[in-house]
Amino acid sequence: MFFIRDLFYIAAFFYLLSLGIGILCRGKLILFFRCLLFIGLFANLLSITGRYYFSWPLMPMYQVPFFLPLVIGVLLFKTIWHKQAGCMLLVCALCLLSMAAVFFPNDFYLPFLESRTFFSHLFFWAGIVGQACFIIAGAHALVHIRLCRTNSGNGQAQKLEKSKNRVFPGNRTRTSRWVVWGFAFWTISMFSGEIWSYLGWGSPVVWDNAAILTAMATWFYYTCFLHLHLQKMWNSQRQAYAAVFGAVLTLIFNFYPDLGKFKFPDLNHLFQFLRTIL
Amino acid sequence: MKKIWKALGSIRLTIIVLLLLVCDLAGGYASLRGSEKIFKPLNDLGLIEWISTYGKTYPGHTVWFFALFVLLFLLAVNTFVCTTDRVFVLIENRKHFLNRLRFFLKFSVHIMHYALIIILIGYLVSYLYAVTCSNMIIALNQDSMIPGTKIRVLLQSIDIDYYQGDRLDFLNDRACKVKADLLLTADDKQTSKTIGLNDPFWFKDLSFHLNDFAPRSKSGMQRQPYISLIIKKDPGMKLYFSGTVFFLAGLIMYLYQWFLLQSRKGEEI
Repeated sequence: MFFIRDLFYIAAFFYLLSLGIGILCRGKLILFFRCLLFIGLFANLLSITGRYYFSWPLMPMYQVPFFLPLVIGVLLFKTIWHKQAGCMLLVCALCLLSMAAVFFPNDFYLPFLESRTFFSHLFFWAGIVGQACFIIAGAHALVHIRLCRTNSGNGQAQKLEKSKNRVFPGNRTRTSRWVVWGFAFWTISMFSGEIWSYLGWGSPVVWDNAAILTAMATWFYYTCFLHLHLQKMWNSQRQAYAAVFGAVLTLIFNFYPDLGKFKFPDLNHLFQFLRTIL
Repeated sequence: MKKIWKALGSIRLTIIVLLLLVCDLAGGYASLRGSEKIFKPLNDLGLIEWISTYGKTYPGHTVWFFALFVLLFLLAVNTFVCTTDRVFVLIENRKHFLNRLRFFLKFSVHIMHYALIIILIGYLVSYLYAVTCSNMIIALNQDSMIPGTKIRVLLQSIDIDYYQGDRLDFLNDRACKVKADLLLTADDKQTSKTIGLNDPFWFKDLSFHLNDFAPRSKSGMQRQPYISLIIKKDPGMKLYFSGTVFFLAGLIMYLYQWFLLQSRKGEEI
């Protein structure tokens, strides 16, 4: 278990390092940036593979914070790899999420027998992918807002008009695309939770865990978002703000409850391992 | 009448109700955390009995639940009116669709909307009319009568696999898999059924779920083998699961339509 945690510390360290290189070198040393990020993602993958290995066939409890950075990284691999618009923002999000997992771990809970079903794993994974999609949508929306502000702030009204068809709808469409995917995965997660709950306890809603309410609140929020988007009831700016707010809401409602109390990371095993190697 | 119908189907009402639901559920989360014991009996007692006992006794903790009820009712009515209007308009305009598949796929959103209503009705029926025996303990070779029925149940055998290995350290010598064989007698007919965790069975409108069992551990104090069952007669179950299936079908249709339009025309939907 400690080796798994150490791998995650390594992943978080490389995420931070790649962010630092990305910010300081601004376009230079892109290969170095890519390598650091790739090492981080790989260490994260090993870490969560270990977590799954040591709980399979049961579901790893309260471990979403360790899985989320990797899922975001994998879903946005192309964007990050090519350093497209919003890339650094997403790397920054990876760092913040992984830091939250490092300093507020909640992985002390043992898996329970009732989670031995396909539906519990589907509930877990679809939930993580759903959360990742909502956060990515929020990041794209933030880029959209920033681009709008930068251009209007510089008084480049004409440029703004010209670029509207090129850049902004692109980010807007990306935002709505990620929200649609997020909604689909979130729905699958909720329905698999419903089936799991019925199989295990005979009722589609189990009131033992208050998190069911925040999951429902997230679903209703994005239902509202999609209604406003599909009915074309608002402009792109408002939609972008709503997507950013949705991402924040997702973090507060679904990511935050999975975090534990503040704890300094125990790096002794990692240092011992490094000393042995060196 | 037309005005009321129009107001009930307004998209603005949808938005307001959805946002109120988000706020209500957020409040509910704050209220439910730490007071789960108030809501736990809801599944066993049913809605009416729960309201008259726990609901009334702890109004500070349950007010969000009543608000949720009202808001979900409003959402269901709004969804029904709005969707029905749009379905009629779509059918009226069917001549404008050259492609049959596209016309069919246009119903995806409406299928999801109707499915949501079916799910909500299913939940309501379940909470109003479901009968639950929440903790029926049966010892090995013991023959018991299921309360409220003429069905007898006998625990014939219980087969527990104990984990042996290094990978799952926390599970060593502890139960990792359980199967119990039951013999059910109703109207002088005997039926054998097997039950496990997350592996219920159905018999004469009743569903049987394994709640607990013993012995859970190989070491330590040895307990007499028994199982604890949740036995439920839930008339809403078929409704909410069929709603779930319809919703997923609608969702798949919507995603397909989305891809179809985006890849062929670059349209934003």
